[in-house]
Amino acid sequence: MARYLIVRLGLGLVTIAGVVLLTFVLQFSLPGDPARRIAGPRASPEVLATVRANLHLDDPVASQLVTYVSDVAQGDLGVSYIRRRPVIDLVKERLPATAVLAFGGLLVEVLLGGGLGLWDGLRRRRSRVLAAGNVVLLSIPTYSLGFLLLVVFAYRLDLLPLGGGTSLEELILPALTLGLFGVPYYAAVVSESTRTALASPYMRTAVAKGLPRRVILRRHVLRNCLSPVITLAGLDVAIYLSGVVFVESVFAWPGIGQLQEQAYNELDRPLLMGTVIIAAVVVVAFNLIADVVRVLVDPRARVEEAG
Amino acid sequence: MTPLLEVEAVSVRYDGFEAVTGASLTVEEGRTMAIVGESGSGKTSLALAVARLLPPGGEVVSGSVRVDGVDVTALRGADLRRARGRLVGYLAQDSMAALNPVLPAGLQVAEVFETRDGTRRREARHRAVELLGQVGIQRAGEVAAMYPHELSGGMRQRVMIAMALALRSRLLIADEPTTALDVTVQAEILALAAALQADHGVTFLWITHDMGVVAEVADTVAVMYGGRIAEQGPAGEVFGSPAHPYTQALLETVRGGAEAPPKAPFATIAGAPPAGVIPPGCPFHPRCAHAFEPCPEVVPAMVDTGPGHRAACHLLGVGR
Amino acid sequence: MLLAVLAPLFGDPYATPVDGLTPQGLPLGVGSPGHLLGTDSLGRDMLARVAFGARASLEIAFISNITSVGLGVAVGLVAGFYRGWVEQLLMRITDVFLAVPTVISGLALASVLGTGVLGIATVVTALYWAWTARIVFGETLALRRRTFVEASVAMGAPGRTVIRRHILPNLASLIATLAAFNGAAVVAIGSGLSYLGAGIQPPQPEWGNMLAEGQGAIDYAPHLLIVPLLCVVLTVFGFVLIGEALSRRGAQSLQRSWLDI
Repeated sequence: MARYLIVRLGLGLVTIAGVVLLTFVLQFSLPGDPARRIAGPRASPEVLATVRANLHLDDPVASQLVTYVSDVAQGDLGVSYIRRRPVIDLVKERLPATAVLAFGGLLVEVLLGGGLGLWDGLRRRRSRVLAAGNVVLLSIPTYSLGFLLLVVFAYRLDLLPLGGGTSLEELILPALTLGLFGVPYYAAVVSESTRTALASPYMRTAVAKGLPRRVILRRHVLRNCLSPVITLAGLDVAIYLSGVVFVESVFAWPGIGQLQEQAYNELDRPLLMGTVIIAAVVVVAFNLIADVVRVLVDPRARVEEAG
Repeated sequence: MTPLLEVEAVSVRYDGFEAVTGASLTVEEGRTMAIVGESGSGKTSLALAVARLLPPGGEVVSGSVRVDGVDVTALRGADLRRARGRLVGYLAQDSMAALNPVLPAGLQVAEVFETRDGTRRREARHRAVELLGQVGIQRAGEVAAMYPHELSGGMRQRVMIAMALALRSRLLIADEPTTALDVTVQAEILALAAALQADHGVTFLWITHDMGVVAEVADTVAVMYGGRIAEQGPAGEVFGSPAHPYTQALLETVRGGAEAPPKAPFATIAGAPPAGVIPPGCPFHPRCAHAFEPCPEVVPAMVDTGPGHRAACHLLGVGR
Repeated sequence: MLLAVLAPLFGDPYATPVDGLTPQGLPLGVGSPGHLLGTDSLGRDMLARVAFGARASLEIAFISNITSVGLGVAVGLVAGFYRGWVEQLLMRITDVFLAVPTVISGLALASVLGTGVLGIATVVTALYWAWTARIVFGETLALRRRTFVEASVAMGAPGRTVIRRHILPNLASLIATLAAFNGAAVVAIGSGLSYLGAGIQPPQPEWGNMLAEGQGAIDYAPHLLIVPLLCVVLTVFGFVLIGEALSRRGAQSLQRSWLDI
């Protein structure tokens, strides 16, 4: 287990290093002079020179890379051009809102997707309605789904607020949007593993023992669905974070995604790259966590990772 | 003494294919009957029918199965669920697949106590460990916390037996439980079965194609071929004076017959067992050395050949 | 189904006198004889605008689908077939691209590569090739261990021949399925980036930037939002249906359940 963890951790660090390198290259390719962006259009040449020196902009590329990497490694992602504050602080400020949204969405997709998947898996034939619903949901990009819900529930029916805040009422639609997007995947995975469980010899043993249906479902079916669901959740993070950006934009949810969109529109280079790095760290971290949890809940995975 | 298991003229069908035709047999309480046959002979289908574990699509189309006086083919719904395991337990050949891979072995025994006797969790665990010890597992406490893939084949089969003991099954169907095990482990499991029979009076229906196992465990034997019982009777009788040409051929493959050439250590039965379509008349006639006119057309009736010893062969009718 | 994908194309933008850029009628009309889908806030014809928008959106989708699947297949095949340091290098790069969240990096990349059709197609390719690469890599690894491939390698056939003759044909249906689902994803992400302001810029119409414009009018002119929205959804729907059809081919089975006995 320890060896496995170290290998996985190492690969994760390599990946993050790759992302940092990528953002460094991107920064170089960006148009515009960062010093002028910071100092403003009317700054004197002396001020510009000072700013350039502070940012090490006149150093050779290799030395700039070293500075950049060591800064990032120490958690220094630079200072936002527009907001004049460290990127890491801005991200920290927005993190709780995004975490609440992400958790709400996860709840929706696991409960709704898992529930539908279980229902479908227990049926003798796959439900055509669910299959059709899955295709439709797959077809609706996150932001479109957000708009649809917004038009129907907030605008037409006037049941829920249009968004712009972080109250519980205002969480419902964005979390639903984010969650519904993942529902088809969870439904498919749970339905498939339910069917596999129901058809396997250990299910015959459970039935032969005369166990009540609810014990069979809870202990013998659901336990076997857990591992694929966790794997999916781990793989899903990168896509999920993309959904977060769209949803925050559509519903004006004040989280990291919105910050990201603003950074793009304001051409705020450090903020943009900083959020890319943060997001990559989150993805790698969750992949790792999902792997570890999977090993914990699925004894078979312990053999795989050892072998 | 009334028999514990009475199977009467049972036929089993899967989507149009008849796997078992008119099989009848009885097993006395505390005894072991072995059902012998090649794959496709219908022995496993018959056993699954007795355990009410035929896969979806398979059903008993006629006849009756009575276990301890209860007609198990008539059980439905909650009655069926309550009867499962209590009347008939089932030991599968592939113990790895038959145990849930994500649950500890002990829990899979303990859950029987929890759900059937309403035992509290801790007490159920305690009793499960006790049972694991009884079936000969060393350090049962540790093994109870282990997962199926961490156990050896023999240990897993012992866990399955402990499960049956927890259920206090009246009849235990052993569907080739030792086939996947190596010889020494197989001997241990057979010894365990014998001990359980002596201590708890367990009745066994032992499905196998291994004549060695039959000789070891069986009080009575039923030989199946092509979905029908070809011959049945006390083990000594069937082994000593086999009445059906198929039984004779089967025994020859093990012993090597008198007329077998000295250089062929293993005799084989010419031809292959029926696959898919069962021949009309006596199912064995295409491979039978003694087949004559009625064999391809008329299904032979069961004829008594001794005390409790019966066989279905036209030759026996001719002899009278 | 195909109709749904192609429908916007039938409204051939060049044939109409309405160009979708100059105002043609009263602003915010909803379905009048001259303007089937109404007009927008500047009085521009919506039908012409979604038709023009289709050109940009579908061009991006078409180009980036081909390039991302092509690149993904190439990387996956080479890494899975040659193994060794090639595999390590290619798959670690793949890992990096899998770890960067699509939209966020899309915005960052777009700011470098520009917001024209080719720029956005490049961005989308960069975001999506790694998914195909990962899956093709896994399949190639599995095929590599199959007897007929091992035999061919053992008999000294050059790698390129083995890939062309034994591996690619066996991957063909998987690649077709991947391309269909990838198509759905790139349509969504292409117009999604435009919606966020990183794609085709107004006044040139594109479904995504039309969505962004329509969002402000949700209270008083919802058709400005709904028309481009339906275009995106129907196009993605078409791709998903193709993908489902390809992946379901022959896979429909009635499984048995021990709960039914």
